[in-house]
Amino acid sequence: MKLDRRAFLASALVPLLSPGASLGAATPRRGGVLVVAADTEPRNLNPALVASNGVFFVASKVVEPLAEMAYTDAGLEPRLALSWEGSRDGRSVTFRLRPGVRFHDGTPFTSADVAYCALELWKKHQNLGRAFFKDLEAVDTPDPHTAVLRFSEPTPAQLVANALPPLTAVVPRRLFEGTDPLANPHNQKLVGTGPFRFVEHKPGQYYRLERNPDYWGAPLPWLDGIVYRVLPDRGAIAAALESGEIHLAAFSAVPLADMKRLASVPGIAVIAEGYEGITYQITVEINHRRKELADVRVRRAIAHAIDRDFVVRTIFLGWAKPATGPVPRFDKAFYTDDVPSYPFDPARAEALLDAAGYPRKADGVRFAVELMPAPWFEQTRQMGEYLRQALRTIGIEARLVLKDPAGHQKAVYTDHAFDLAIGSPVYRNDPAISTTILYESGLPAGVPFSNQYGYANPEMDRVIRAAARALDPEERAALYRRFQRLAMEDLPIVPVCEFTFLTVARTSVRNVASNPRWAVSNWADCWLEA
Amino acid sequence: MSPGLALARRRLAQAPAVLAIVITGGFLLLEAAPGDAVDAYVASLGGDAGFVRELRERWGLDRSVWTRFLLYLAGLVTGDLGVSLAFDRPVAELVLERLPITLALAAAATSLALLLGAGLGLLCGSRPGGLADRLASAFVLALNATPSFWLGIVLVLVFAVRLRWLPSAGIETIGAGYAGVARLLDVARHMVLPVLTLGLVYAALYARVLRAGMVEAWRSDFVRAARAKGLPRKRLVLAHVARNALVPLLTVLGLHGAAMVGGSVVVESLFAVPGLGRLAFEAVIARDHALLVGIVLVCALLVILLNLVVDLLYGRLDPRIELASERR
Amino acid sequence: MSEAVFRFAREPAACAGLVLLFLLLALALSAPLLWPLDPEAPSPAILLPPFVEAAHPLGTDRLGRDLLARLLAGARTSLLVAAAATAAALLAGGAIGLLAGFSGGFVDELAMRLAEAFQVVPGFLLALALVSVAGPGLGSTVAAIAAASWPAPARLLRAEVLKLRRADFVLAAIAAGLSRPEVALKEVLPNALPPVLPLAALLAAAAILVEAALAFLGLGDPNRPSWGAMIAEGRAVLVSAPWLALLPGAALVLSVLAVNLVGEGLAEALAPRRAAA
Repeated sequence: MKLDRRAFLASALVPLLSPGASLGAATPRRGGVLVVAADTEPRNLNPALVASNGVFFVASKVVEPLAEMAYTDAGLEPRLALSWEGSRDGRSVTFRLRPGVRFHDGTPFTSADVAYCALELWKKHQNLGRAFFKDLEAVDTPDPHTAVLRFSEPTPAQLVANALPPLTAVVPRRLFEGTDPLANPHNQKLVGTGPFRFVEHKPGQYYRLERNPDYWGAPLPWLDGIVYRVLPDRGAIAAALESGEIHLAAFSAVPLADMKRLASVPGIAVIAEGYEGITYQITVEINHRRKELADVRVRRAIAHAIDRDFVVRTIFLGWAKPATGPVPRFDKAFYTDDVPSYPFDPARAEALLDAAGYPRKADGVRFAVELMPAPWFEQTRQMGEYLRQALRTIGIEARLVLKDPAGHQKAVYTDHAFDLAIGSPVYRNDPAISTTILYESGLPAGVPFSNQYGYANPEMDRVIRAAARALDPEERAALYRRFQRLAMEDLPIVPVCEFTFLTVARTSVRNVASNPRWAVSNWADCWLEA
Repeated sequence: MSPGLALARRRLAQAPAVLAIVITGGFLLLEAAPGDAVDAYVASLGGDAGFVRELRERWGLDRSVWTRFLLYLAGLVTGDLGVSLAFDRPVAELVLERLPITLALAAAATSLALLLGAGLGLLCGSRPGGLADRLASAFVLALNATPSFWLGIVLVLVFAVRLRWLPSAGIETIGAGYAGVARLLDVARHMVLPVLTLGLVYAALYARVLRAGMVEAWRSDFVRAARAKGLPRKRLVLAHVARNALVPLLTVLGLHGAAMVGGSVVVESLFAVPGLGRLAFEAVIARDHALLVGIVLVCALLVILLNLVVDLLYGRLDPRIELASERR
Repeated sequence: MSEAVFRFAREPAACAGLVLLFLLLALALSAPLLWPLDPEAPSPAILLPPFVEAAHPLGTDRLGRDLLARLLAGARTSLLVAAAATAAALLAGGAIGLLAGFSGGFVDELAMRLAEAFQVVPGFLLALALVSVAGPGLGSTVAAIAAASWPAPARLLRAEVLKLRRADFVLAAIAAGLSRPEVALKEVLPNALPPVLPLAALLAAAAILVEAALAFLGLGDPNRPSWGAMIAEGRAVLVSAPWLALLPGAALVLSVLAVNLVGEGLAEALAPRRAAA
């Protein structure tokens, strides 16, 4: 979309102007230490135990999953697994593993490691794996390079494949077996198979990784090492980039408002690709326990009050797209735009509110709500400020309530003490991983990023359950299209826009955004110009 | 017994009660906050109900607040500051790692503030109402009114982004492999902007205090007497007027020990300095009781120590110091 | 007293401060009449520079909101918080100080240890923690600033009580049968005013700065514009739109300066004078 224009022009023009130079530029160079900005230091850095982008950003270079996302039709490319195939009955998936791979401690990577991680780490302890692998019964290891995951219930192979990049990082069994995995020192001092080895973490200052000379993907990696400088302050990151102290800042770590200017600084490029596999949305979360908000006409009125184009243009400065439903456009397998839509139309919103029985009172106000923007992103907060004004124009008085992460998590997802909230759910490559949970009913209080809204529709629950068991990809896709339609008819939450992050990098950093999960992938092919 | 010593002894005797209030207050304050350490942690990850429940059990957050507080106190009695939930590391280790950085920052900023403040204060106070006083006072007042975070932003804009003379963040060049003097210089270069940001604001404050003290001293009988005796002005200013103004300056200095650490919260986050202030902020966000109380406890101890020193200095500076405010 | 007013009026700096302060107050209070634009209303005209469009004389911010309207609204927030926090600190601290001074014994001991406990903890950190715990808002900001600053007035009033309670006029009042609270209110308080007024100015100046710093860190009231929060937002575009951070910063400096000048004038005017030479 918004590919940095200069970088794009440069790459388009260079071959015409000087073919020789372009050949030289396209040839990766080995060497150099990449310095990037990091804004968090996770207490547990082990991606086999903690599936989160904050962990992956550092750990994915050291510990690899079975497969990674790719800009190909298949959508996936092999990492530790060479191939995978589901059985006809949906009760097993067979993985052929890459031979000749060694962990950084010198021991070979085998099916035993996969079996241990799957049963003892992903299924028992991993934040996302616990729900995803709940039906995983056993892992057979007929030989060192074959692992067969057996499920007690039919599990679509397509779903398993889609979950491979975020959920299946492999650490050595030898270092974890017989210990309390959550207290294992190698949750910080990572050992994996990746292109980079973990060297040290200086808390509050940096992580340092160095090149793994025995990487299975030799001659990769190109870089000699990666340093993550801990820079929790966004303003400090922009300054460090400009002064050349760091090469790269991922995850929109620089304020969006500063991107246009940064893109015009010589030697700096803004790259919008490389995050499609972790597309986020801005949503309005609605508490259905509140009488007014339980009425679908009121929820539709709220949707009609939001000018999505304004949100995209102003809050995101164009680096976002209006959302049509819970699935982002990038997911060709499941996305549909054949759903009810709610164009910006304040007059219609007011008519809906009148019809619902909430006329404007003498002071012009229909009813008042508390609006709680999540503290996760600058944009969730700005969306809160925008929505307050948008609601005011249709006669709903909103008061902003801000909480810090713990307070927000408790108020919205445990205590249900909110009326409206601004959320930012992430779509992880398949609706079943972290999206349908936002619509499914019957979840206990306290589950973060789930339907704690008090919304329950038996038909919705039926579709979600059926899709999670449907083995045929066509049938699954059809069910998920139905899911999207239901989501937009009932409108339990209002999807506003979908957005991906931006990477800001010195132009000397090459092969940025080489896959749809680039920031959280292994960077083996990334290199630095001399 | 000298009055300074008496003050110091009194302060020591009162310290346990003060620390008990600080510990209890810190612990209960975080307890009153909405959400606990698990809420803060899962807010960045997600996870199912069992994940959240098991985490709470593992971190001991399923027990009552009093059980946890008593357990914490039991550890504290044996000198154990506990384990930080947010970092999964002993609190003592974390605090010891960050304390020198904050102390160095505060010491450097205080030195700068004293030096600059004393200079400006003397300039103003040696001839109150004169032209130099009017100009310098205006500058000092404006500086004193400047928020440190804003000053920091402007300094970064000018010296790091525009002129590129100084690094914008961090405390040393990572992976540069400096050792000895080279490393010291590297760290010093990184500390220039944070120290300026923190120190300038206090310089203005100290200058104001010194000037006020000197203005006061000019009016006092003994300075009048000394003047009447025809003492040279230079000698008069330094030996009588400025010396007399040192006592209020010292008081302010003692009071600002704590404020310095508080002010460093903002400066440390502005410049990505891994100090105690930033750590305390992170402890609040993470609902990390042991870490927050540990930091606050160490701060309180330091401040009490600083005040002890100030008490002792009082006696030396001014033997006529009145102890009436504390003694009856 | 009238002599003090006279002395205050003779200080040009103090008068300038007072005029500036009144000007700021007048602007803040009459903002809805002077410049009735909604400071929260977003518009598509984002990041408009100052002096370009008459509709937005000082330009617009990141979400296209009018900077002039926001600056004026920020003045309201700033002055409101400063006044409320100072009043709260003086009332709470003053009451505790009077109580400690008159009661003596255990109550005095407890009050002073409490005050000390609040003073050995970094004040800003305390305010930060309190606001995080209570949730950002006008009330929590005021409470947090007051909580961090009550010990100073408490100590001051206690010292005044200790000093004055042996004074002739107080002894006379007690002899005349006045109760302790009556003595405190009628005799001690008016006489403690000279040191309290400059302290109030000091507290107010600090309150303005702390409010701004809290808002800068994202802990301001989300329902009203604050100069600190505006600086934080402006910082994101510091190079391309420097006025967004510089203007609220300048407003802050001016306000604190005004309060400081008034405070200095008050201290000067109310300072106990020895017999004129």
